[in-house]
Amino acid sequence: MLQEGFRILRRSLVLDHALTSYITKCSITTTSAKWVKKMPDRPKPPPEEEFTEVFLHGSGPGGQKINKTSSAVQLKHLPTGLVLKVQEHRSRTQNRKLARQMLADRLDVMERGTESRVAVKGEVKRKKKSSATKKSKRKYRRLEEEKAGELEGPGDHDLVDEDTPEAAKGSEGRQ
Amino acid sequence: MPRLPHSLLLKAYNISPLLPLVLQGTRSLPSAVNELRWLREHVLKRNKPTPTTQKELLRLCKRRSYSEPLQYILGSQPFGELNIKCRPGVLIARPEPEAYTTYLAKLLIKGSKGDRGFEFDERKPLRILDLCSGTGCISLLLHSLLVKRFPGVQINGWDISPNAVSLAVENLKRNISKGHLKIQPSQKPPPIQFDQVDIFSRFNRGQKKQLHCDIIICNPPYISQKAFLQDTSRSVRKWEPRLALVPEVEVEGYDGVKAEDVFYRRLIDLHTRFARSKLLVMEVGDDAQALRVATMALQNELPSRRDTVEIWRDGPELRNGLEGNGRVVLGGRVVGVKGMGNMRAVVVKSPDYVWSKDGVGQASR
Repeated sequence: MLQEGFRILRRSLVLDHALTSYITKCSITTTSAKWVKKMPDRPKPPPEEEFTEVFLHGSGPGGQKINKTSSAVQLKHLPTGLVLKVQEHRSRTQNRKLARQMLADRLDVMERGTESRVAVKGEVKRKKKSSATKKSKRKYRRLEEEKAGELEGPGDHDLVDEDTPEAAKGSEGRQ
Repeated sequence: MPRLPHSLLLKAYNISPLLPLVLQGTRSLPSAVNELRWLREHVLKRNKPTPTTQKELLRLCKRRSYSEPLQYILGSQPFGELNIKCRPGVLIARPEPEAYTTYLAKLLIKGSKGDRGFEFDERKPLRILDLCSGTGCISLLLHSLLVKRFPGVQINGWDISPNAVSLAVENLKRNISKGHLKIQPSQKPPPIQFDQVDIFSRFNRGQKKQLHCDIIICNPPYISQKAFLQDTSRSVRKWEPRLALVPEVEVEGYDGVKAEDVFYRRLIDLHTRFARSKLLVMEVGDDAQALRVATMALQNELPSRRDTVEIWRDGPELRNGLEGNGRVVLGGRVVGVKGMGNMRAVVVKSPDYVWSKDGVGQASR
């Protein structure tokens, strides 16, 4: 009885080992693919002396007398005169962090224009979206044409099906 | 309280049908928009809206329309990096204590670098007493900010309300489990402790031991009976505990002290005579009270130690070109005023132990 148990245990150990070694051989990696173009680095917020910071909560009494939920932060960048207000979070600490990051992004856009991180990210997003819409358009056009072909008759169907992808490609090339 | 104009309610309704409800609680449109967004985030938690969640959201908006504080509805309030649990019966953590507590921690950390700020004997652990601790927010924030520089820091929180003490203990556990506070449960003695103590009573042996500390920080009740009826917002008046807002203690021997300043007189006594602490930070209600308390602190110091008094505004770190660091003269003594906004805290420092290169130093320059 006991020996039986040991045997099972040993077998399971061997099996376990085999499994783990198989996994290590497969080498699961998390590095990103090489062909993805690297994004520009997140811009650093400007030094604290370059902007003034105000916490907006209206005038009048504060402290225990009222119970404010506003934790808005307003930054004013002195050299450019850029003003921005952040009231996204309930936590002022988080709003301050976010405001500094947003200011850095805005300045980056002003300074580098289309090469800034925000612009590059936006461009990538736009491209992805446009290719997605193009794909879906193509798909639905083909479906529609297939439908039309079925209605006309089985003879024509093959022709239409072969023609459309090439036609689409051709039109892309011309663009 | 003035009625909300129909035009404003209609405007709110056009943004969202739920907004007029929230507007009744907040009384201003921009903050209503923000609060409705937070309520929605609280209900949905990144899920898609369903009929059940919409019903729940409507229920919460109705609660807000009876001017119940948002923090009681959501059950929490961010405080620095921490998350403080809130529930009826205990005063909600405000942004002002967050500002001056952060500033105090900054000065303590800076001081040990010999730059400008406060300096303490580094061989002994730093001991802090947080009086009228409420949710425990000040104690917890101080620990989270100071533990790196002062690993042996010891903080005791006292409050008269058992409800507040139990909530403070819950908040301690909550922030440890969320990883905001670096405390091992086995740590002895525990770095943060909360006890139920009446600061006007006689202290027992254990309390006297805790009283011998380096820093006393306190956010006492400071609103007068009249101001409670006139100046406080409806949500504060209706929902928050009066015990934490209006001081109602009769003390013999405190002649000429206004009813709303009774706690400050006691605190100054504790600081100079009983605790012999090096630093006392007290939150105050407005500019007039700040000046009264500063005068009181200057009058009640012991002849053997000349304390210096400073006043911090709402944003002690903020600097405005026009309204920089100022000073006021009270009874022939100069009191430095730091930062921007309303006067919010009176700070008493003992030069025997603590020194600061800015602040009062600036006034003598």
